[in-house]
Parts: sequence; C-alpha cells; structure tokens
Amino acid sequence: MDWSRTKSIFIWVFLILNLFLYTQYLESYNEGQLIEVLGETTKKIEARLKEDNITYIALPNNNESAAYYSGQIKKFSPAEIPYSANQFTQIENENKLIVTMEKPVKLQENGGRNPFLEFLYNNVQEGDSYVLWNVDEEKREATFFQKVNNLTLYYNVRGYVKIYWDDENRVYAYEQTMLEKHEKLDKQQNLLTAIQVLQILDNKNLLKPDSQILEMNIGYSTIVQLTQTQVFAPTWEVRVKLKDGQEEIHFVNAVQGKIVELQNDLSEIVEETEDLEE
Amino acid sequence: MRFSVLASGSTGNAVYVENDEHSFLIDVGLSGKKMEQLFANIDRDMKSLSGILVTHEHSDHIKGLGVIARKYNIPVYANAKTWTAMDGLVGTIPTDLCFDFDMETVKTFGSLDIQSFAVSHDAADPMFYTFHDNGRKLVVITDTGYVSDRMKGYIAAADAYVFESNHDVSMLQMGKYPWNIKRRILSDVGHVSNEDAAVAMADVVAEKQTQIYLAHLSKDNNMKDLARMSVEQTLQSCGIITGEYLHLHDTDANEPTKLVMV
Repeated sequence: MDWSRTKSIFIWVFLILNLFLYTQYLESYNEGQLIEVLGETTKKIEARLKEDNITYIALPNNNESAAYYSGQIKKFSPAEIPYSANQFTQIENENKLIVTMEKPVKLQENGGRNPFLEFLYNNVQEGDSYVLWNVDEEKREATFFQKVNNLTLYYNVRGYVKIYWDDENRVYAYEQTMLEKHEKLDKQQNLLTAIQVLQILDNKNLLKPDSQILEMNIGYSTIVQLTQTQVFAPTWEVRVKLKDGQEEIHFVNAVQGKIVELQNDLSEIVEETEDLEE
Repeated sequence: MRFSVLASGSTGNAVYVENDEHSFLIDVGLSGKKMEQLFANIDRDMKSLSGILVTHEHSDHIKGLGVIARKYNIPVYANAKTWTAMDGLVGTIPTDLCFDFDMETVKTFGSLDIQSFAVSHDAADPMFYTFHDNGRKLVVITDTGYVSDRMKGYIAAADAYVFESNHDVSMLQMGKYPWNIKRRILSDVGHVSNEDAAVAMADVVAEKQTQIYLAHLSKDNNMKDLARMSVEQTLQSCGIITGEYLHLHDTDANEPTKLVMV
C-alpha cells in the first residue's frame, strides 16, 4: 500500500470536509444574525427609546388586523340634497357641497372638545360618519375626516367636512365631500404592531429625543386613486409631543411599513386638486 | 377551443388550451405534484397532452417543466435561446421530446394554429402565443414591460385574452420591495401595470364578445378587486364599458379558472 498517497488523500479529504463544515457554520451564523426574536427586538427598541428619552404610556394591543377598503367619490346632485329652509347649498365640481346657513346655528354649549357634534349630526348629510380631526380657534374652522370601516380616513380631500363659525360661536357655513360605497378588498391583513411602527420611525430618525408618544391609532390613508374609485390602506397614526411642546403626527402604512407622507394642510390639497382638475 | 388558467402569479404560471384533437400546456411554473392537482381540478389528464409551450426560462414558468415532461413523455416547445437559458434549470429532457418553436412563427396541429410572438421581458428570448381554431382566437400575454405596436398586431381582435395586469403603480411604490426590484418591474422589460394593460386592451379589442382574464397579479402590489376596478375604469376612460361586449375575469395563483369555450 502506498502510505504516502493514502496520507495525501486523507489530508485532502479532511481539508475539503473542514472547508464544507466551516461554510455551513458561517451560513448558520449569518442566518442567526438575521433572525430577530420579537421579544429581543422589543427590548432593543425599548432600550433605544429610553436612551433618547422618548417616553410612552401604554401602546395599543398587538396582533391587529384590517383589510384594504375602496370607496367611490360621491357626486352630489341637486335633486338628492334634502330641503332645508335654513341651508343654501351650492355644488362645486359635482363632488363638494358648500353650504351657507341662512340663520347661523349656535354651537352646543358644554360640548367639551367637540361642541360641533350636535350641529354635525343635525345639519350635515351622514354627519355621524365623520370624526373630528382638528379645531383651529384662530381661523374658527373645525375639520372632520370621514370614517372608513369605522376608522379615520386621514387627509382625503374627497372625504371631509369643514365647519366655520363666527365670533358669537355660531356656525355660518360648512363644506363637505364624501366617499361612498365603501367595500372591503381582498382578505384581512395582519398589521404591524405598535412597537414595530416605533422601530420604523426610530430607524428613520423621525422620533426626536426627549419627546413623548401621546397616542397611536389605526386609520386609513389613500394608497390608490383611480378615476372614480380610491383604495385605502390601513395606516398607523402616531402622535408625538416634542420637547418644546409642539405636536407632530407621523403616518406609517400598517401593512407594508412605509412612511406615508400626507400633506397636513387640507386646504393646500384642495387647491392642488382643483388646479389639476382645471 | 377551450382553455383554463390553471395558476397565475409570481408563484407559478400555467395555462391549459385544448381543442377536440390536441391539448397544450403553456408553461409549467408549479411543482409536478401541484400541476397534477390542478389538472385533476379541471378534470383533465396530463397523459393526453400534445405538448408544452414554454414562454421563457424564469422559474415561475418552468419550475415543474422537467419533471412533467419526463414523467408523462410530453414534447416541449421553446425557442433556441430559451432552450439554452433553461440548460441546468429543468434537468435533462430527452432529446426526442425537445422541439424548437422559433419566434414569430406558426405551428399547426390539426385545426389548431399556434403562433409565437415576442414580448419585452428580462429573459433570454421571451415569447407568448396566440391560438387559432375554427375562426376563434385566444391570446396569452403576460410578462411584458409594455405592449408594443408589433405585439398589438399579433394579439388584436381575439375572442379571449389571458392578459397580464401585474401591479398597481402606487402600491408598488409604497411597497416593501427593494428599489432595484421596483425599478425592474416598472421598466420596459418588467411587467405591465393595471392601467397600462387596460390602455393596451382598449387598442386591441374588437367590438365583439371578448373575455379578458386578468393574469399574473402581483401578490404584494395588487389585488383582484383593484386590478378589475382599475382596468374597468381605464377602459371606461378609453370609451369601453365593460359588461357590454367586453367581460373581465379573475385568475388565481392556486385555483384554476373554469374550462371555458372560446
């Protein structure tokens, strides 16, 4: 037997075997690095937030799910506007009502943060399908967003109500757009958890040090705009109070995890949309 | 002529076409086992297939090709560049089962004429097929970044289409795919969006009863309802009201459509 040759063969065989085992080890090590155990991720993000002095009280429950929805732009026709002796209604571009009150309507006293509810329910078509978003005391304007699947549809120029009042707390006008025929699309989607959303915002440096997470809600944002139909995606709304007392709102697509950049001034969107339509 | 879209989407594609004498499978993008199930679902047997027509070498079109061709001894047709590109991807297919189907040529099987035509996709030499039988025409066209005038010439005035309606552009842009993948999908050698598909449909459909099966929908960047609405509204803006003579149908990644007569 040629021992020298056998020895060489053994050396080569073990060398190849070692190389193979080493590559296997590297692969499994790298895979291990990629897998993030949820508990650990949560701890990591919590630690990072703590480091930056970003505080929050209680985050919403995990494991929420919601579906995509669609809606059609409501075209108003004079025939279907209910008669009201106190309302003078103009229809703009078929999709917006501009209503002037013949006699201004006194706002509800002791209505708390939302003294507009009574007016909304009694005077506005399907008023209960809108939810208060913002009150601008200086301009005396209150903005309501339409609800889809009972959740707020953020900043959609086709689904809002704006109420205007005078210095005697009387509503003298409002404008309204509406999305109708809401339909669930496709199957229910599992949504990102609140902590995952904070992680996304933190990774993008959108959470500033010394800030406080005030609220996190699920709503909808418009993802697709067709000629007559729009499609809405489940969206996380994250309200943050900054060190200087200012408030910031971030929106994150709750299925895909992308930051949704919504223009936060509805009047600007209205103007832009109208320019495009012209 | 009858056909069924057995499966359609990025997880695997296969379309079955038959007339009284012959039957063909366009692509085998699913495992052999899954293909057998799909055939059972439409009450057909793979043993009776006259051939498999390959469109291009991407895995969602050839995953089960080798297994099925070998197991059932089925002739496979593809163009020369696609054969070369498939080398090593489908195992060894006996040479007596390998046939060339050149680009932009017609092969005749009894009363059935099958014509190949080029599409614009990032594969070696991608092509799809039109089927003509007794004056009726079926078109299968997916996996193309756009629909050129040349393609429109081949696919015009069919009675039925299996037409790609891959993604919604906004969903794709908002989606989690890496940028290079998004750019690839949106490019001229990627996939057609819902709206682009509808614009092309408006150019090619004739004013006669036409069935369109919306195919190769992206799992992440499209939805059946959205694809249908989007195509419907774009067609409407081109002056075509769906439901009059043009009818839209869904396809599914796992469930075959009913075997229907063209």
